[in-house]
Amino acid sequence: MNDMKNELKILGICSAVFAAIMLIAFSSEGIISSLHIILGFIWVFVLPGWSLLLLTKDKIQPVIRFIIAIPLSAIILGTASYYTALIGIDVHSHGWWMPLIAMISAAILLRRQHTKQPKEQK
Amino acid sequence: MLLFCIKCQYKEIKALFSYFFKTVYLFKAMTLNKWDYAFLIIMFLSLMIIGPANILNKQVNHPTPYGYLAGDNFWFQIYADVLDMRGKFDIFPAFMSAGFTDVIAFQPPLLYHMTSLFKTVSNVEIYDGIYWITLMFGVLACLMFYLLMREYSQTTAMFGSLLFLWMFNGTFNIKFSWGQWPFVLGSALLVFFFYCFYLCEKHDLWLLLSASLVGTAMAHTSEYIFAIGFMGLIGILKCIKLRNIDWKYLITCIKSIGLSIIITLPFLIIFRSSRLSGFSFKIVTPEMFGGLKVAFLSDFGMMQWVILFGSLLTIVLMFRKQFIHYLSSIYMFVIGYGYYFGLDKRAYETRSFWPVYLAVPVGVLLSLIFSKIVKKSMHIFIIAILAFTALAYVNYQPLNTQGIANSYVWDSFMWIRNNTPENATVAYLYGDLFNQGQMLANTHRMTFQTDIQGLADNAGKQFPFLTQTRMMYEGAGQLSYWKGFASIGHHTEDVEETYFERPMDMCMMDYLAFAKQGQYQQLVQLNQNVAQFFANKGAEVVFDNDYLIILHNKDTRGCI
Repeated sequence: MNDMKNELKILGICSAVFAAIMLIAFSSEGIISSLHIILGFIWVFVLPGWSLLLLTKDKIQPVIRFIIAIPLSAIILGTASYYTALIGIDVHSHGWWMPLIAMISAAILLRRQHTKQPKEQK
Repeated sequence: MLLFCIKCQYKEIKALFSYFFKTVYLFKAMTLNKWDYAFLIIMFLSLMIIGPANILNKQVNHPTPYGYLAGDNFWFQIYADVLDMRGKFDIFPAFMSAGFTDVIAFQPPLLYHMTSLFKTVSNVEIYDGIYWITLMFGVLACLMFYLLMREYSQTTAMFGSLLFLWMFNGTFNIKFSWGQWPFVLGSALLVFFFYCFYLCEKHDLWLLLSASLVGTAMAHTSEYIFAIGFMGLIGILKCIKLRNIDWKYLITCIKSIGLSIIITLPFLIIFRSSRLSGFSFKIVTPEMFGGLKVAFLSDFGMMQWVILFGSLLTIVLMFRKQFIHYLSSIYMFVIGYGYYFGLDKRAYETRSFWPVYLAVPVGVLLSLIFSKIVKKSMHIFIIAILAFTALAYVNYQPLNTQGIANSYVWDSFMWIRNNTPENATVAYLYGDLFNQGQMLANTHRMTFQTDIQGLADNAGKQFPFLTQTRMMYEGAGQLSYWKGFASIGHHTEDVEETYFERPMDMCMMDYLAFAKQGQYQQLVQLNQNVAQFFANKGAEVVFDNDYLIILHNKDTRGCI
């Protein structure tokens, strides 16, 4: 639990730094619009990969995981969106439910990993 | 005597190199520390300011496509638009397939789906979203390559990062402003692949490696080939070193490549039969590729010498330690000259990512020099951070370029899209901005671009006359269509070449667009004469602004 709190804290700090840099760089964009873009970016391109990379938290440092979560999210969601659309599920809703599915899958895998580890230790 | 000299020199060289090795890895530390965090923040901020923010004029949302400097930008924007319109990336609409309604969407789909996902949650227009994502992945590639270099040497990573500042400069910026967007995404994911390769070697994370391979295949397939080539090269090096097959490595390769092929197979079949059907291994000179697009070492200015000397040093070091960042850097440097072994324009294309790949030689040489001059590691980090900030400041040139789609032209596209029948035909006569024909596909109608030379030849004649006209369509995939199960045909082979480009009677077009102003007054005058002819024939002015006029030709029986 403490581990998870720490992970969320680092995620929060990294997201805040990203948001601050975005606000400085795109200073002509309105604040509300910028926040909308930043939150949208984090929802689609950070959180799915970040949650899946929690499975490797003993091997990869948190800040590195935050950075490589972006391409990983893009690959997983982009590819899933391509095939899901081809089988007839309209692309316009993917941005909302696909990251959620990725995060739920990561939570299930994490729980499985968590329950598996004590057994292996015994 | 000669032998003695060679022997002495050999000893000296050997001593010198062992001295180099000690120095280069003096500050080696595996985990990120406070200096890395500081450097990453400064680097990210600087790159965002000189790159995405500068190109997009410090805002993400624009009323019209901003900073699009070539027709290719519009093709990729149109693909994403088509995906948004149809809800899936399966078939291209008739207006971009020369009237055919069964042409397969053959392009690597990742970028367009990413744009669509992003649009859903952020409400950013497709034309802004796709450009912003591409630019962000350009910056992300720099951050990831820093991480890769950092895994081996902190000073190499910091000094190497200086080269990232060329990413958005001069010739290297063309990959963004001229629209090589899928290539940028593919290259960023290739850098991700190099990092995953390192992670796989260290922690056996083969699923992550496989995911990166899927990404390169779905973003820009030539990068997928390069990634597999890299794995093969490492395999050979391992075999030479061990004098045996490294079975563990081989199994990892089979698993990761195998899974990536299974995931991408449907797309790879389409790609193989469409885009790749026109590909052949051939030697292409820079002039044939379109001289301006090709990057050369000289584009780095004085830094080219650092790159050259650094590369020599890196090659020497590489023989001693096969570090992933050395190998990936030299591998992509060699790929940049791949036209000698038939890689065609794909070799040249990779050169615009040299500011990332060649960061290693720069880092190796500069870290060596500075670690000789400055002894304290903290001082070296401060020098690296200051050097990066100073170079970023020097490299910053405000662009503020609207691009070729101004509001006059864009409004006319939107008017046609929203107010004309779906099967309407539109002809664009002379207009400087109509040169980049791909832009015209934003009308979402069948468009015909008139040949300027053809118009100039007829400038003195009385209208009506036949006008050399080119149909706007995406021909790179040979207009592929499904003939049967896993069997693909090409419409380009089914019709004559004159189907796409021929002299046409303008009276048969539903709508005609004319520019009111332009570089060639004679052609502007011709536009006016033709417009007058159609006005006399009963055509109605349906759209008019300071730059262009659109006429609705109600009688499409033809005049010739």
